[in-house]
Amino acid sequence: MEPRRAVPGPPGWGPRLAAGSGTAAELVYHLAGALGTELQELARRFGPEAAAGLVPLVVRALELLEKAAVGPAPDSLQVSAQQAEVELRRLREENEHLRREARAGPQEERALLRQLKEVTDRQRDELRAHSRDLLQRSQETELQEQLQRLLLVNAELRHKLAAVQAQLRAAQDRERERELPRGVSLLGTFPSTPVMALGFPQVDALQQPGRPVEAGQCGFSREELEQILQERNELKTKVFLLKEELAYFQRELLTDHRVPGLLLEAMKVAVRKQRKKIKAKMLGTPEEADSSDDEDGSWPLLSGNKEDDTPPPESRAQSFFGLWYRGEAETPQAESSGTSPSRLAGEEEVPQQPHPAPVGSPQAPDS
Amino acid sequence: MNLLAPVRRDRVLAELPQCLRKEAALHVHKDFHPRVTCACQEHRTGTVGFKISKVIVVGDLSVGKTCLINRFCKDTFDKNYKATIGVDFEMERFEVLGVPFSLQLWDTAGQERFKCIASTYYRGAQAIIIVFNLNDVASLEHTKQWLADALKENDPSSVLLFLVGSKKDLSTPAQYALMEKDALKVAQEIKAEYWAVSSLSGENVREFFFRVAALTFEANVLAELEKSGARRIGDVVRINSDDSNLYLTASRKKPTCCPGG
Repeated sequence: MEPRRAVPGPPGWGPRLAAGSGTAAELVYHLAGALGTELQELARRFGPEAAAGLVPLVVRALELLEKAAVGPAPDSLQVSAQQAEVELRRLREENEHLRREARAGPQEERALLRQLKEVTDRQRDELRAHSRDLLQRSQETELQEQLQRLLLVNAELRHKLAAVQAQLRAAQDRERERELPRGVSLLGTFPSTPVMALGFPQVDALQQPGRPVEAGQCGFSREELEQILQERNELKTKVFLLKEELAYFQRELLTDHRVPGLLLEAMKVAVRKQRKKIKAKMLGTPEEADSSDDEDGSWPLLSGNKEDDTPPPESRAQSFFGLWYRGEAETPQAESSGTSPSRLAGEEEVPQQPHPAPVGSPQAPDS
Repeated sequence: MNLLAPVRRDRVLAELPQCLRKEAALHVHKDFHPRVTCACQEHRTGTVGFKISKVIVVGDLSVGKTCLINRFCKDTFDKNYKATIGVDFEMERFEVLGVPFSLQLWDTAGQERFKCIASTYYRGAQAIIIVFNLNDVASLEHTKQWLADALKENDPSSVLLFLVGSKKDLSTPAQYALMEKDALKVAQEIKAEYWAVSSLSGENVREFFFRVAALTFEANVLAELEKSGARRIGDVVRINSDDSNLYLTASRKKPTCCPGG
């Protein structure tokens, strides 16, 4: 029965429902009213208990309907959707922009860094080159100074040598002049004792060899000539040694073979020492050589005649330390090297010997 | 560290220069003494740094001693005669078998009046070069006297002798052949090596001095090897003991790290 009664209801609302689709909430309230009436009717007819279970369910259903009907208006939804779309587009653009920026950013930075690095590298290289240049220049000036000094000494010695040679030549000329009238050679050799050719004014002067002779008046005594020769030999030796030293330093300059200042100092000392020794050898003056290396075998054929100069055998030890230290009279190693002089001599000299290198070098003097 | 300036490239001897005449030569070996070659290869030539040999040049006046030296050392020739006063010397640096070696060539006066000064410089010569004029028999005859004078100051057993005929350019081949016969006889007699040169043309000058350098060098090194060889015998005893062997290796290193001491 109830369904029947209920049936006529809905057809009555049907059109209204269709027409008032816009106001779904009103329809819900209407429906709620209708349902309330129906439920009251039920309670009245069958007692309140009959609808008691139904009411809360219906109320709940109606509430749900109401909520659905009252929800946001369709047009506001549309607006918010449009807004969302705009927002989305904006965000997308921004995203794009940011992404582009992000992509471009590090590249720029990297380029900048690279540039910076190049600049610092260049500056570092420049600094290094600069310091190298400075070092080179200081060394060059040092060598130049030495060269200047050597050239000066050399010139001085040449001058002295020339003077002595001129003196000698003059003496020779005078000698010849004197010889001419006499015809024969002047007593064979230069007499060391006062003996002179007859009837010449020089006789007086020469009768006292120690007495200074007036220029042009007479020649030289044998002692004087020997002295002059000795002096000339010494000067010539000096010139030779200086030439060697000069050639050595010139080679150092030319080959750009840089030597640190400390080593240069040591080299200078060694050169000086060596020079002394070579000089002694060349002039045959044992007093300078006997304390060092006269016996190291450089005059093997000579040693037979120079027994008086033969130093004690220990002095051989000095030759083991090579070129640089031969001159040193006191060598602490003397006893240790004494254990096997020949072995040491053979092996220690090896580093001193590689001389062939400079031979082929294009800086060979006079070549 | 080489403290010596480099040797001129045209003063480098890699092999033994040969003699002029086999019948009057100090020796006729094709090469340096094997011990010398070996020592040079192993750098055991003894004296480090500066090896100098003294060479004296004697002979009659105006035979051309100074010219001979000047041709070799300075490559010059002066036609004018200028007597040498007393003595003079020239240094000539060589490199023989890779070892620096120097000749100090003492040019002595030939004039009688200077003889007593010049003779004071004879001492300590390793080689004596007696020069005579190939066109003057008397100068050849005088060579024996010159040699006798020079040997008074030197050890005849160890000194090397060279008999050099000069002014070869002035003699015709026939004249030269005659003179050479006599000269060879003298050379054999005095045990000298014979050479004939011309300082004017330069003929044989370089060859001769190279031969002098090579033979003095050889003698020099051999003498040194002999000396060190004598010492080596004494060392054998020490080497037998293990203790001194250790000591040897230690002391051998020592000089390299603190050579100055």
